[in-house]
Amino acid sequence: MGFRARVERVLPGRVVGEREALGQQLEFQRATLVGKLDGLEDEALRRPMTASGVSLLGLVKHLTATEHGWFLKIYAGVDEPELWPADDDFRVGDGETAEVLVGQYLRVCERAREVVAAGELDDLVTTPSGAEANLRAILIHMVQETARHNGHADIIRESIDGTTGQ
Amino acid sequence: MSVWEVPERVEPPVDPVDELAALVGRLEFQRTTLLMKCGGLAPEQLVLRAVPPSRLSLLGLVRHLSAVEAWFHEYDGQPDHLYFWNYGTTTGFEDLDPARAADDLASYQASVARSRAAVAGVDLDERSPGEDYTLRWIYLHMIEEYARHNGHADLLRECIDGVTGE
Repeated sequence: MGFRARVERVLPGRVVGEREALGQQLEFQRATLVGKLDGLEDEALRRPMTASGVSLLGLVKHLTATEHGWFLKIYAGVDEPELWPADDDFRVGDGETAEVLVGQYLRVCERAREVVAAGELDDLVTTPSGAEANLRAILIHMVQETARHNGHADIIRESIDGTTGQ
Repeated sequence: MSVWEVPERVEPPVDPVDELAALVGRLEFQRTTLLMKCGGLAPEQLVLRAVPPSRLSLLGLVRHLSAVEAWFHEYDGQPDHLYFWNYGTTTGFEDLDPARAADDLASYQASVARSRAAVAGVDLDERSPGEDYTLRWIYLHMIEEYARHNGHADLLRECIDGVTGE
């Protein structure tokens, strides 16, 4: 059986405004990530596959931390500790199954979706480096960040079972 | 054979109030990232299929993206450049020849130059001639397309000489 993604992947609208275009492209990337896990057993999902030992679940965990960091902590100013120590978010623990980690990813994405919906693209926030970033730049960054890790997921998935595309 | 140069990469603005500047800055960042991933490598390394069973190589990615840039070429009303289209999905990744790597790079740079000229001054809401995509959609698609392929480039480069990051 393996893991079931249960996330609908919707192509971004071809003729929409800025806010919809950014939001839909980010949703497309999020759904692509979860879809890359579909059908695999837990052992394959946590298997270190790259030279530096990254697994598909490690990518999910890292992107959960990235969503939480950018949208909730930096943009919304939510007073919560980081989900995992920095540099530790690619490492998957024994109890961290696909259901646990993907569930957490989808919950963090839902919270991110809510704070983005309540904000304006020109809203400025101070990043940990001291720069003033706006929500527009954060959204575009998260599209490229998730897409780049989806590229890693492409190669890992093909190495596991030969599946490509999507 | 000499190694490819490592280009300087410009960080996109973190507080862009202008949508176009935000998209252009991020796309240029991704374009340069691809060439950084190739920088310092010799043609014989650029053609390596370093993450089997994938057929991908760094030079194949550069050739493929020469063709993908044609999304922008549509706007200049000129005929498709067959040389770029010859680099489409299949052939871009096959028939690689280290002796032609410099020509492939020159073609890629010509394709990007044509893209920049084709959409200079075009409104983001303007539809692509013949197809119902806005320029906004195309910019966001190209950002995610490059970012995902740069994820492939990350793992290729890591397997070729251990270099990661950027």
